Formats: sequence, structure tokens, C-alpha cells
Amino acid sequence: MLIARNISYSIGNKSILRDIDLTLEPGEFKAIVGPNGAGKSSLLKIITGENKSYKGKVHYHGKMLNAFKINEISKVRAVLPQESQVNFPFTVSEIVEMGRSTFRDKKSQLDKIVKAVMQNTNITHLRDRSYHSLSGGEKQKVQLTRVMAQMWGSSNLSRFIFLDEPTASLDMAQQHQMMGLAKKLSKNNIGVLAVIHDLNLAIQYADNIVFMRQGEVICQGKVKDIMRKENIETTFSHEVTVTFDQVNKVPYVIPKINRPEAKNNVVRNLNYESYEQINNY
Amino acid sequence: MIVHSIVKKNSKALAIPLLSVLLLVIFIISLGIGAVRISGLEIIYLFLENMGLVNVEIEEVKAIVLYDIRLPRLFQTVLIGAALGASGAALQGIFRNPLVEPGLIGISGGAAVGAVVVIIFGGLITQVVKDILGVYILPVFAFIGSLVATLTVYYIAKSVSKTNVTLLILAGVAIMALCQALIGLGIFYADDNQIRTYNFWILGDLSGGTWEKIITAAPLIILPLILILRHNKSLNAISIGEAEAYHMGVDVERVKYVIIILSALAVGTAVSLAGIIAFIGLVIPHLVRLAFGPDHKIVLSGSALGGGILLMVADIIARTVVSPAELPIGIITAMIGTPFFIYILMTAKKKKMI
Repeated sequence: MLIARNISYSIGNKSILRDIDLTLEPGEFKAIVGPNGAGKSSLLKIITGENKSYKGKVHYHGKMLNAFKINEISKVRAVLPQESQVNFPFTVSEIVEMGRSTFRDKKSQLDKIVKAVMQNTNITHLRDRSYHSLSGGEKQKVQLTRVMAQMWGSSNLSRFIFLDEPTASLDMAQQHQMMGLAKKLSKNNIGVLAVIHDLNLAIQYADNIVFMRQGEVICQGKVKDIMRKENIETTFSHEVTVTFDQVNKVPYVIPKINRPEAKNNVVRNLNYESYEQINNY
Repeated sequence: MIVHSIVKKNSKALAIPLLSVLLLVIFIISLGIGAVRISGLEIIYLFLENMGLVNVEIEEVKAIVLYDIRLPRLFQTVLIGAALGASGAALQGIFRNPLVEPGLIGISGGAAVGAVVVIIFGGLITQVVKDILGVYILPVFAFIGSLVATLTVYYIAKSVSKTNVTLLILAGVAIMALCQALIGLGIFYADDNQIRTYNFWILGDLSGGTWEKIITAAPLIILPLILILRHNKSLNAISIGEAEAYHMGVDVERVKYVIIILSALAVGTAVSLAGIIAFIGLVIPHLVRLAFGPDHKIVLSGSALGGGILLMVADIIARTVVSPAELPIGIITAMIGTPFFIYILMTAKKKKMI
């Protein structure tokens, strides 16, 4: 289990994070949401060990994060960054293999793992392609596969995967594929913590959600308990309507449109009544 | 695409055997070329005779040329080429940029300053230091010079989380300018004889290869190269990002320092042997990557072999075009290297590799 207590972090006089408490259990899919500048990525950098100049305590399996060696912690957690800049023309399977950089796998064992994770994310057909020739969505999937390779195989310690805005530059289908894969990981008893921009994506896939704003946690808990109009509006400073998505059986957040108040606005001529009926469902 | 990838895949497995054979062939060809021509057959006979296996009549002078001049010279050439090639590949790896070169980030310049100190101000160095260092005095001073220069460049370019490559290259330009000023200052105080030695040395001079020099320098080049080769997995991981490599369990900062120190040792020693030889460390890793892919397992050892091959070829040209005189090797490598580098830049631009 991952426990972060009283995490505070500031750059100079500017406070970035204040007294954050966060836990992540194996098998849990937790999403962090909040406006830009809320400190989501900073928090992720701290609990993954990338940023060491913070106050507070982070424990993995009861052991302090800074007591782990770099290659020890890499056996416990893996991180998918927002976007990776690959400077040399590696093939897809070479990139995936790198997930095992600090493991001492035998060649046959390594090949088996690479094959298995690529099947898992359905990218086997890309294996010999150059990473540079892939689309944004494919690249992100390859990076996720690499991260999965790092967490692959049996271990007596449960493991964690951190995703920093994994869907940022993806189209709709790719976003859902990505989130589906992340969900699948959590079903395999891996704790998944993802920073997600799209509130509805977070609702659709995460078990628990953390609302952050200006370096503080506004509230956190189960999706059905905290997906309330007040929480969302306080966090994002924007009016919303929370309704229920009958198809997927999850709450659905509809942000209010910022309409110009011009009298002769063409939009006014449209018939909204049928839409409003759906809203009040 | 599929055909291409199959070729790439097989070429990856064949890379090292292929380059090794090529190195050996060029080595033997190169042994025979020069003012005294020795045929391939004669070379083989001479070796067999030396081992006491055959007894043939070959002119005495050929044996002397082979054993006392060409063999040490070629071993030295291969060592220097390997040092420059592999260090270039490793430095490109840690800085995640295919344009980094030992000459570019101050390693060669710093080494040259260290060597000039010994060549020109050797008289001022206390006897105690000379006694301790013995024959190692030139490589050790070159190593210190290159390490100081490289670390300075690195500190200038280093920001909180990663190295800024533009800053790195600009800092390299600044430090190289300073190195040149210091070398110029050295020349100002040198006598005619020292200037002649210096002039040939700074443009790259392989003719001074002796067994004694090689026995001194070989461990100082081979050992760091072996240690550099062992970092292939870390360098691969760093290729996809410093943060990414860190998350995968690679101690990125440690790897960077280790590679810088090892490269400074290998290149510093190479520079102390034969002066600044540019472009090997830039062109060879490029070529190896283009031919066999970017996996550092292949790129590092392939660049060591490729560096040896290219420098031997350059040396053949240097020895033959103005025969019986000899061109400084640095001129040849720059003449081959610059157009080639521009060509690589253009292809890389088209392929959006840079």
C-alpha cells in the first residue's frame, strides 16, 4: 500500500502543495482531477520519487520512499509520463524491452515478457515499426506497454502504476482504449493513480477520485459519494449540471456553456427543449 | 516496410561479426601499404616465420618495417579510433543528442591543453610528479585537462532536472575557445623545436606509434571502453527520457558522471597519443545507427570497431596521397567527416530524425 502524509511543497515563497494526504491500495484505480496549476503533476512527481525536495512522508509497503534505492523502487512502481521524446529511431519492441532495463532477465524470459505485454495492449502488429513512424495514440500505447513490462511477472509486493494525463493528446476512441487498459491493470491487483483532465473519463473508469485546487485537496472519495455539483464547481470555478448517464450507468457532468449575451445571437433560434428534457432525466 | 525490418533485424545480429571482419581485413591491407610494399602473402609468411612455423627468404627490411613501424602504428590507430568512436556514441547517449561529439563538448580541447602543458612547459613540472607518473605523464595530464573542461561544460549546461543541449553545445564552444587561447599562449612561450612537435601533433599525428607508447596507452583506453560498453541498457533507457530512465530504475546522474569520466580518460589518452582527431566520434555512431539501429548494445561496440576502421582508412590515405611525405591525419578525417556529416544532417532532416 502507498501512503502519503502531510505532503507540502513550495518553490521559493510560492506554495505549490499544502498538507496533502493520499493513499493508494493495490487494485484501486484512483483519479486526480482539478484545474491547471492545482499541483496534480507536482504531487505525482513527489510520490513517484522524482522530486525529493518536499515536506511530509511517503511510504510504500511501510517503508519510507527515500529509503528505497532507485532500482528498488523501480520494481514497485512504474510511471507513464505525459509525453516521451524518443531521440533515436528505436523500434516498438526495443522500447517495450527497455521497461526491463534494470531487471536481470534471461533473453528467453525477456522475449516472453515483451510478447505477453504487447499482446495485452494489442500492439503486437507494431513490434518492428519505428517508434517515430507511429501516431500519437499508438506512441502512448507503446509507452504504456513499456510501463506494464516493468511491472510484469510475479512479485511478493503489490505494485503501483502512475499515469500523468495519459489521454491528453488522444482522440475519443484512443482515450477509452487507454483508460480501459488502465482499468484492466487495476483488476490485476495493481494500484493505478492517474491525473486526468476529463472529468467524465475519470468518472467512467476510476473507483475513487481526488479533487485538487490550488495545492490543496478539496475532497476525495468514491465516485458516487463525491460527484456533487458543489464539489465540482468549487474545484473548477465553473457552473455544472450533474446528471446520470443511463447508457453507462455512471454520473455525467455537463459544464455550462459560456454563451455571449448578445441579443441577436443565432444560437437562440435553435430549439433546446428536447435537450433540456434529457438533462432533467 | 516488412522487408526493411527483416533486413534491420538480421543486420543487428550481424553487426559486430561484420565490423570485426572488416577491421581485420583493413588492418592486414593497411600493414602492406606504404613506402615499402609488403604483399598479403609476405605478411602471413612473416607472421608464421615469427612463430617458428616456416622458414622463408623475405628481405630483412620488410620484417623491420612490419614489426617496428607498421604494427605499432596500426594498433595505435585502432585504439584511438575505438576510443573516439565509442566515446562519441556514449556521449550522444547520455546527452540524448546525435550531434554531440568529444570535440564539441571540450573533451578533446581540454586534453590538448593538458598535453601542451607537458610538451611545452614540461621543464617546469617538478621532478616528483614526473617520477610518480613516469611514462603516464602525458595521458594523465590530458585526462585531467579533458575532465576539467568537460565537467565545466556539463555544469554550465545542467539545469534542475535535465541537461539543456543548446547550452551544452554553446558552453562547449566557449570552453573550446578558452582551450585554444591557452594553447596559443603555450605556443607563444615555445621554442622552434617545440612548435614543430606541437604543430604536427595538434593536427593529428599517428606516425609516432611505438610499442612502448601503446603498452602505456592501451589499458587507459581499453579499460574505460569495456566499462562504457557495460552501460548499454542504461543508455537505451536514457534515450527515451531522463525522467523515464529514472522511473525505470536507472541512476541517471551517476551514469552521466561515469560516462563523462570514462570518455575523458579514453579520449584524453587518445589525444595525448596523436593530437585532436575530429569527426570520428560524430560520424561513426551516426553510421552505425543508420546501418544497425539505435540499440546501444550494438551502437557502442559497433562504434568502437567502426572508429578503428575509419581511422585506419584515413591513415592509409594520409600515408599514400603525398607519399613519401605524410599528411596530418586530422586533415583527412575532417575532409572525410565534414561532407559526410552534412550529408547525414540532410538525410536526418528529411527523415525527421533530429
